[in-house]
Amino acid sequence: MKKILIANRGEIAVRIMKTCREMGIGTVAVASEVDMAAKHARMADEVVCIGPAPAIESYLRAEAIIEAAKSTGADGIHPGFGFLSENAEFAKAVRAAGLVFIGPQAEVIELMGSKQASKREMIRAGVPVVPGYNGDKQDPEHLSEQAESIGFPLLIKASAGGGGKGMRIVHAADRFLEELEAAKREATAAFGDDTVLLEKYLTRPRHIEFQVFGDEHGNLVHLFERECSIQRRHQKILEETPSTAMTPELRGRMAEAAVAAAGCVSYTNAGTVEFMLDEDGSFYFLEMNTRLQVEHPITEMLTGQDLVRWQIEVARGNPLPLRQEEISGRGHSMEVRIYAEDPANGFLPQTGTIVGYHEPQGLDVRVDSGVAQGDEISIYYDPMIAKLVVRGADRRTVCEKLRNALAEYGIHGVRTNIAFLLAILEEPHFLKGETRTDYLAEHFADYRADDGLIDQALALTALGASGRKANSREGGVAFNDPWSSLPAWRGTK
Amino acid sequence: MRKQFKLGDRHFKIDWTGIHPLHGTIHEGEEVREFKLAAPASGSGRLHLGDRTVPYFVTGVAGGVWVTLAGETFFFENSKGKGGADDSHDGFAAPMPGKVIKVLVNQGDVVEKGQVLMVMEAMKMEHRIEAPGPGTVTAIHFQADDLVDQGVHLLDFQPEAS
Repeated sequence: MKKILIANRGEIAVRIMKTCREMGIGTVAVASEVDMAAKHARMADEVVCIGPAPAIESYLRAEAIIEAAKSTGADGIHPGFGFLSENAEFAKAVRAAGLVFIGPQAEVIELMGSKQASKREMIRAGVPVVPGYNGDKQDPEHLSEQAESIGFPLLIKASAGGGGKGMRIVHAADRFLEELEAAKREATAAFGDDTVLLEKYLTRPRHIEFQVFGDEHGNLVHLFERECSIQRRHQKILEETPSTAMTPELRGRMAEAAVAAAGCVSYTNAGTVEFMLDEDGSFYFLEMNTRLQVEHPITEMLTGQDLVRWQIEVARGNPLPLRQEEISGRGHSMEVRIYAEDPANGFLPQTGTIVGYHEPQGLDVRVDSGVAQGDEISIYYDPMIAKLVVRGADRRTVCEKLRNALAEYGIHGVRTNIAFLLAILEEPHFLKGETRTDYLAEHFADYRADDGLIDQALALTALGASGRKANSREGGVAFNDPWSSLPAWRGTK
Repeated sequence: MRKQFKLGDRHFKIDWTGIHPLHGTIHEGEEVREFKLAAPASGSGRLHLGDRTVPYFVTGVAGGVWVTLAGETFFFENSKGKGGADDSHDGFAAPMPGKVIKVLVNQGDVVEKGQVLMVMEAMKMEHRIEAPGPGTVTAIHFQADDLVDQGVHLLDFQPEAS
């Protein structure tokens, strides 16, 4: 591969281009009409417009993207994450067009995209899955027996379900039949089908995932875990490695399961095996993501390996750069995701022009961003605008470094979650490593931004007028320039 | 210099009497709070808070001012003065660092439109502070020979109710 088209936008497109550039590989960006001046489009060697702003008319148009690769002479396509990255048809079409798809086999993408098929495959491979019952025999006595063997608490879910309807948590056996009745009533009312499934309910799980990598020569390695328990409405906002829950023994068992999960499908390229880890140390396969992960930089910081470079080498048919025993982790790494959203107002996504932008710098401080001053945050795409990643000797050092770096991150023009992230990094339970998927709901349900420094901030508005005009690429921004309101001057002797 | 802002349902009126250091008062409702802060006179830098400094960034835009201080970001939206005019652009802000050379009125004086209230000098240029309309001089913050920073609020003026 001499030239790669990146079928994505924002920070991940920028990040992939950096590695391509280091490797002497040409870069082609695709951009929607509103993104033609965006950072990823500015950074690429070439840029092709693939349609109007809505993703369905641009970044999700497989044919347009493949056509762009052909017309620019790109010989490989990197899908990034999101958009078409886990679309098996796209992977097939890219390869059918004689191009390299930088990712796993299309059949594997398809298999892992199905919750039921992947779960069956995992059971065959001996990877633990959440114990449950998902069968046709629905009489209460049978379900009751199944419930006993799964254990409590457990979850009753409508098979046809979604949105929490027909879903019941049962904490003890003597409540089971009563809750089953209620669940079946709800399921009938909502979906016209009272079939339910039973699943062990994990009260306070952690989200732990393993980075795996395979090549076409049968090599398969893992690059340790990432803990992503800090989530808001199933959206990860802070990730770290190693996990505070990890012991060498547990890591060994989980890594073995992760490699088995990838091995049973002869996985190639980068993948992530996600698990739920229960408080008793048992863990269960959740799903496998068949692409690079948003939070991959913490693994890169920990191991010193460039995962995009690995992806390109594997896609070229080369063996993995390292054997398992050559991979080691150094210290601790943590990432926070910076979103254009307003934590004081229900975390609503924010749109606007970035009028002021200042990234923090420092030893082992990495910013993967998709924006610069003058860029527009539009309604069309994900509001994540940057990732701030640090590495340090231990977790305490990492939290200190991250707090300092967040305070030095200046983004003006849209509201962001930076202060919210800072509050997490100061919260005692977080600092003790007591991180579960319900962490934010438990500790930050009533979050209010701190305005203890409002008077100092008001005083500083006096400095808002000074000489920033030259930095702005936007004509529409005006400043309180005292020189523009000069009246009544005359010369003196 | 005076600016008026709102943040949510809070309203602020800020009067600066000095920029080096930042010195002045904040009026919020009935409350008046004073501030005095040593900060570099540029859009970004570090501000002394106790025995530490914290980073700040300030960006002025047409509708207000963005301020980030120690990781907290505020957008202060411009709000209008009593007379309906945005008095962050009133004629009473010192346009540049300089010296007050004459004060021609006293506190409480009723003045006419165009009447010269104060004269200052900077870089060999003389600047006359004139009344924008009929009204009353309600406060004078500097006397002859005082040195003033750019942007500081020189005097208070209450326009005549029309």
